[in-house]
Amino acid sequence: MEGYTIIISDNMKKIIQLPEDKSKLILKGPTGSGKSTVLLERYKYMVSDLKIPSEKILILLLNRTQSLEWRTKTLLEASGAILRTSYYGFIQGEIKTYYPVLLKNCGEILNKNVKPVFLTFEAAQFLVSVVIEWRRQNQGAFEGVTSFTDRLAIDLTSNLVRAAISDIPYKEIGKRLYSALEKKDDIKKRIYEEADDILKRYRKRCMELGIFDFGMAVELYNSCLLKDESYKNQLFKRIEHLIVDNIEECVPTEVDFIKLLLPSLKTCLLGYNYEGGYGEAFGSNHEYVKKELLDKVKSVEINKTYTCKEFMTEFSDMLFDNIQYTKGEKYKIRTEIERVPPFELRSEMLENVGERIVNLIEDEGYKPSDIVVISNYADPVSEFVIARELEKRGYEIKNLTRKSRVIDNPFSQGLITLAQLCHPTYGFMPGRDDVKSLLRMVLKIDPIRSSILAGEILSQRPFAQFPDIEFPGLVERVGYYNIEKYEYIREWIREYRERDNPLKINEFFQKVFLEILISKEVSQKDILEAKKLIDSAGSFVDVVTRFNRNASRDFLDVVRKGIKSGESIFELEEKLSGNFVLLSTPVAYLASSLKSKVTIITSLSSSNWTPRSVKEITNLHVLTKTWDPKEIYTEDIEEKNQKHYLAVLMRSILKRCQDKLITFESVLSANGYENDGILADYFDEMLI
Amino acid sequence: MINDLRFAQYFLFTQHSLSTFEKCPLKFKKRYLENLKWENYLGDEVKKRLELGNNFHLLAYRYFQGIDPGLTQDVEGFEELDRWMASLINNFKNDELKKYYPEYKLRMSKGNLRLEANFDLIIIDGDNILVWDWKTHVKDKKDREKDHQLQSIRLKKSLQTMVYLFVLKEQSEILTGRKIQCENIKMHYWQPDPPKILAQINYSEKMHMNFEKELLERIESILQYEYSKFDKTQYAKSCKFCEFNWFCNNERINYSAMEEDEDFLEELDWDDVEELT
Amino acid sequence: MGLRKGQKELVQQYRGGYCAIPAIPGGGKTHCLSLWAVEMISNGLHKPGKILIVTYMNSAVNNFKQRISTELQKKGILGTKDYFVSTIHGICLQIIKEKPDLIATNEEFNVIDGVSKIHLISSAIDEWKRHNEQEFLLYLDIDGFSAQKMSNIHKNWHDRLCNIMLSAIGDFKIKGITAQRARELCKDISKDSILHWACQIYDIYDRKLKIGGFLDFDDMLFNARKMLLEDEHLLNKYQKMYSYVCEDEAQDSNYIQSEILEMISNGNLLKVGDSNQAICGSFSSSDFSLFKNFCQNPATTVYQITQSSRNTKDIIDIANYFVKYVRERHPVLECRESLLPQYIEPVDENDPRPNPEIDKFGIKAAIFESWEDEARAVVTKVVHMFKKDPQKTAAILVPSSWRMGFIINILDSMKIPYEQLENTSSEKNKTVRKLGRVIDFIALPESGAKLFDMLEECFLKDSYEENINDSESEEVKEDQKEQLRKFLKKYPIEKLIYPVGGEIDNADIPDELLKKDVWNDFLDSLHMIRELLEFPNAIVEKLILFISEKLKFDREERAIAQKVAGDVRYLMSQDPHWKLSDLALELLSPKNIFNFFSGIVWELKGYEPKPGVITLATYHKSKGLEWDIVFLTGINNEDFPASLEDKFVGEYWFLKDKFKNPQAIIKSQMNCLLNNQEFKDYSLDLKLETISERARLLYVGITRAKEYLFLSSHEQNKGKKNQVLPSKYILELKRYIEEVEN
Repeated sequence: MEGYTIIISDNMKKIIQLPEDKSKLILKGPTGSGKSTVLLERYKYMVSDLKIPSEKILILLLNRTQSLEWRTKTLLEASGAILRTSYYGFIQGEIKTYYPVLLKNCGEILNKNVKPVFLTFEAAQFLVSVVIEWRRQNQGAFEGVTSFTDRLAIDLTSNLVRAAISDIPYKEIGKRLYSALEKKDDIKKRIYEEADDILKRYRKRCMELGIFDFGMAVELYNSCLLKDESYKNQLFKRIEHLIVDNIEECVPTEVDFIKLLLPSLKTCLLGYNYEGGYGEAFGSNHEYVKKELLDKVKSVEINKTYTCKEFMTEFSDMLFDNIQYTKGEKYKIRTEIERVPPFELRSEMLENVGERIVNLIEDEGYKPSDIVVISNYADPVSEFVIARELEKRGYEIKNLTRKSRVIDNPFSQGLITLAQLCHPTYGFMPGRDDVKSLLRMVLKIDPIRSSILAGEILSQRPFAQFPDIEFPGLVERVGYYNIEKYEYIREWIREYRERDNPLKINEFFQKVFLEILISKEVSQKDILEAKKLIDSAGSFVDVVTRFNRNASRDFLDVVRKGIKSGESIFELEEKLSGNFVLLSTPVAYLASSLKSKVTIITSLSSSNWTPRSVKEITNLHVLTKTWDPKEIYTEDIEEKNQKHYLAVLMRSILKRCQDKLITFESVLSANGYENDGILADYFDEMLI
Repeated sequence: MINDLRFAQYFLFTQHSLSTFEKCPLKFKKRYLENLKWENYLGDEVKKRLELGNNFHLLAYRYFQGIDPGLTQDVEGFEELDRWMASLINNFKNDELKKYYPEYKLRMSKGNLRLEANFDLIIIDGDNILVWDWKTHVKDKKDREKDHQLQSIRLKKSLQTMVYLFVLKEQSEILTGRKIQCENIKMHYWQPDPPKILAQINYSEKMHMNFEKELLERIESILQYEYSKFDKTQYAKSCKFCEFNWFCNNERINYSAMEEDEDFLEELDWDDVEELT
Repeated sequence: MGLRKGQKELVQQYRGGYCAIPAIPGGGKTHCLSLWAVEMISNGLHKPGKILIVTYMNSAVNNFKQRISTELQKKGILGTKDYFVSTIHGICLQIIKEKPDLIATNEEFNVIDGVSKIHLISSAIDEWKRHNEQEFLLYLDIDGFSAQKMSNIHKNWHDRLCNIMLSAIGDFKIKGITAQRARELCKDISKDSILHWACQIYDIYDRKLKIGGFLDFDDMLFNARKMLLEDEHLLNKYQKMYSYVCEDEAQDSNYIQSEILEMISNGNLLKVGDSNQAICGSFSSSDFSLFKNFCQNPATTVYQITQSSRNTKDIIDIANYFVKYVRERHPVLECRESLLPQYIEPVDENDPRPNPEIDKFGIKAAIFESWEDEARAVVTKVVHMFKKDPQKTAAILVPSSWRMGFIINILDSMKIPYEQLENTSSEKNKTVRKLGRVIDFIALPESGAKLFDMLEECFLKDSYEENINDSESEEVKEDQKEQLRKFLKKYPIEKLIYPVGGEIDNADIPDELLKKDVWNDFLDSLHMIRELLEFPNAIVEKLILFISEKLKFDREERAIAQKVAGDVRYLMSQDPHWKLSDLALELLSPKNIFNFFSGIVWELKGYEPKPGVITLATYHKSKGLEWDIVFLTGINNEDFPASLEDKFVGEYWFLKDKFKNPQAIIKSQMNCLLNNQEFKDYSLDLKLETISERARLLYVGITRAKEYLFLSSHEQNKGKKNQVLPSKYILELKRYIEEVEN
């Protein structure tokens, strides 16, 4: 997306060209003021003009989208290594390099290898969910809790992360959460104790094996490396300059880390969007930033906004005030702010969103990439319904949020089906639909004949396999196409099953992919999907095997249950730079640095705009550094937090909207219940 | 692909990508432009050796960074690593007067000369710059002198030598703050077990000019290459070592052949670590 | 505004405090409640909060909404901010969504639908049976049955247990007993006792429910109350949100619901109801004395509505006669209070909407030899009536939904238009069924039967009339589709849809079929069938939306298709074994997990009886509705028991005598255990309750009719153990009718 240019003012130029020493600055500004541009230009200036070795400059960014932008925008004629990473990426690198120091300082790790292993989120959640599920079924754990095991696993692992990034000892998680509860009872007490116990054991086991998830890595880095004098000295020597964008979204330990570096730094430039702070769900803590960092460094403010027009600035600020401070100000409605009256059904709303987009493109001259659709779900149904409306006219919509599962890709599904056929002992019987699709894909036969053949394959005893095609009647019905390929696959599977030891699943996938599935007709996208599957299987197996599990089998299980597929930097780049309409959740949109000409907000009246921060076994505000453990987290606090979040979120979204805001809503939600969120009320009250 | 990465200014060429292109432009396209880097399916033996090599690089890095390498008896492959580290320490005694840059990366972008080099070790000794590269997976062939000579010649002419020395000379100012003469630059290929310098290259102005010319030619030929004109038969000799063999020729991949191929093993070297996480 | 006695007082005078509107059937409750709300809103009297109206069914919710918004629009008021109409479950859901964590529930919880609930309890019972085989068999009276028969009985008992257990679990929940507490309780009960089993099964069921992320309806009520009780902040919020709380159909309220509304209302509580129409009693926890007591509360202002213009005077008379009969001469003394002495009065002579008048006596009663005879006679009669006056509306009411099947068969075979008042009705299920047929075929495309079913549902015409000059008989006329069906069943489908040479080999096709319209229609649909088959089905939700597009679904159908698509992902993640054929099976089952949503979508239009179309409904579902002509069928002694000797729904013939009514046993045991009382046999109470409620149900039925009323019943298995006889009521009413007529 494009469409706005930031003009570098003299003031900005001064910042960019600050000297190479004693230049520490916080650059304050609202959304769209050009902070990031200044940071980028400053970096280029430092390397190219000030000749500062690039490996002395640490650049901390929020996520891949930002990193991608930096990569494409920083072209340096000459440089050393570029130290540009996320906070977590930095920690991983440090732990890997300084592992011996860490081992020396931490007695809990039994596995003394050259380097540690890091768990992916998926693997961590899987491992925790295995324990939870077993305890729920067999020991009555979490009795009284209405929630899926997967959800609990996600919350438990996130608790560990939240505690770590807020420097709260993991042993105190349950106690802290429980004591903040407004309504305490024995059931809840037991739930937190059980949660603590599971985490304790999980953590212990991981530590012994030298395998760390995100939370543990942060914890170990802070407690075992940053407390080590020799490490600290080296760190101060290695890093002389610091550039951080969006410090308002930093997690508390990252803030501490920046604070720790500050005195020894020669220069630093910290970008600060005082209107930000939407990332609290990921542990960012704007309050802590204000408290700990802002007064430590001199700050300069730039406040011209380039990404939205004046009326939108006014509107978004007013909406913010109305939500945050209940100001009740009125705004005279104008055509750029279009409030489409509610539809009865959500389906109607979605279809109309699609039609409106076509309209915007064809009648109002917008490009597809000028338009972003913000949806709290950004679910496949929304995506498909809008996509179909657009497709009719030859336009495309892409979902910025990762929602697609591995098994959504027919090609990856084919790999999984073959894995099931080749590993009968894993006990996963492939489904008929899957075998059918596989046959269609590899043999290129029509759906009916592949269905007949699939039926034959599945009816083989004792386990599904490719039957002899010459079997009377079969070949006559199925036809004589591709018998050679059929025989090849049949033989391949037979041979494979005779192996003494099955391959690791990722190796299997790769072998089967290269030897059976691939052909010249296979699309680039499919190959990439398969590759992602192989890669994620690889990292999963590598880690989970260490827990003495049949990780290959586990992976098949996890995949069938629908884990999301990864996204390569290539795909991300495509989404960000192509001429598509984008669909995104609010947070994913804000985490990118995208702007848009037309912002369409769907389901304005849904209550999902104000998610609760209190969940059945977590509370993101209590597991944070700015929370006083002696306090009770009351409903008033929650209400305030929800409103604050909504206010910040909306303002940030609107300030990235240049021309036009269109809101859509429906009376009934996807499940047929009445929508009753507060956001629509604010719009109602405000617009006259 | 809407974007052809070859033309993206941030796309830097490495010795690996250049040599891949030389072997087969299509393989280059798959690997570097379409991002299809397969984790190669190898025998356990080879994998173990690779892991050892990687670990050695890490330990060496720590050694030069002044961190305890952390080699204990609990470490897998302790005996070999111990031997290798002993010979490393023996050959590279820390000298206060020298500056050590382990695992150092240099990047440049001068017109089409967009290059990146990842050095195992650079030592700055006054006006001299020494480059060291660890070769840890040389196969246990019989230690024949002839092989060595061949290898030495091969290494001297290799793309690695070319890219490393060229980039280093061009960017020497970053390291030292001043321009360094070619004659003051040397590169060594070193194996720890038995400790031995496999090749030593003394750089020269002439080499530098030749390298520049050749690198530019190579890069330009990549940039100008038209994939529609790809002729498979020209590159057939690499096919049997190639993971895309099935894709191109519908032929099974001969993994054991791959394992025999030294070039291939070279490629598996301590590869460039993605900087984004 | 045309307000009558009672209605007028409400609209003009009620401005706060407790108020009750006891109303006779046809008294225009919805009408006057809506007008009251409009009056309040248009004068701003409802501020600062909104008016909350709680009613029973979604159709009633939409009815209220439409009426209020139409009236408000007339006054130039747009928007829906001033009032909220909801079912009690809608309110509870809203309350729980406020802070699900308070009850240790994930925000993404689902309300379990009826179908899944049965699945869940059934699997809980299976799990329990694995360790309690002996207990399971304990109650069965199985001497002298064949193995085949035994297994049927086992299955039957299992199915009955599902309902018995659900009802017991409901009781537990309403009483606030958690699964954990139940587990502790059962330590003191003998393992042979059905209450002991109920405790164990509750425990298993509850675990499954929670792991599945579900709350059931009882959980919703109980938890909403709990939250309001415990959380002052929440309660305040709701009290502020709603200035007035109106409860419609208050006679069917239960204790928890009343308590919730009482709490929220903060003193401004309006209840509208008719004690004589309380029909949700004996097997749910509702309690019609709640409304009675509310009316009797000295703090309550009562405005009676006694006039109705719905029915002819004759029908009013028979309704009043029935009340009088029950009160004065009911065979069971204890049941005489089941109807209160509220008699319906016709409206005044000069009322703008007078009672209907017809030129003859419009009430009949008849008793038939069998249910089949009764059903046939009823249908014949409706057809006859429609022929005479196609502008009339008519309904056939049946005591339980299983009885509808046979009537539907007759209606289908005679091609008479009808509409079912059920979420599971074929009309409301049409969308889901179409999707089901297509997916069923895609899952097994080589099946000719599935291909035909899909064709018939989605592509073929309803009927294929032969040319008029074709002199063949009626039988052959129906045969076109049948011919195609028979052919598809035998012929390899791949040769039709994907013929090897690209062309269907016409030599294989029977000549007589080739010439038919149906064959041409089939050929015309081939292109789309191929498109459907070839659409990638890795992403099932996409496939569903594609089908919806291809079959040109309309607005409501698309909404349902999107709902199905949205749920598929969830269903598949819950059970990775889910296949297309499983989805098809679910979609094709008349009771499926999408019933609820389909119901909501179709009810958005509201129900309006259509002239010339028969409405088929249970007595229960007929509440609040009216038709010109009403048939009350199945007035037998099983469904409308009038003496203690009659058969009762809760008694099972295959159980040993002392265990005949397991539900009553559980109730008795539970009461004895929880209240530390002496054991008391509740089967008598339960019977009395049933008799009373059924009497009211019949009263509801009678008062649905505007002009014509037909009462019917039948005999079955006379003299056998499982005999069914006409209810005493119909005999009594028949006598009355004959008396009046003469």
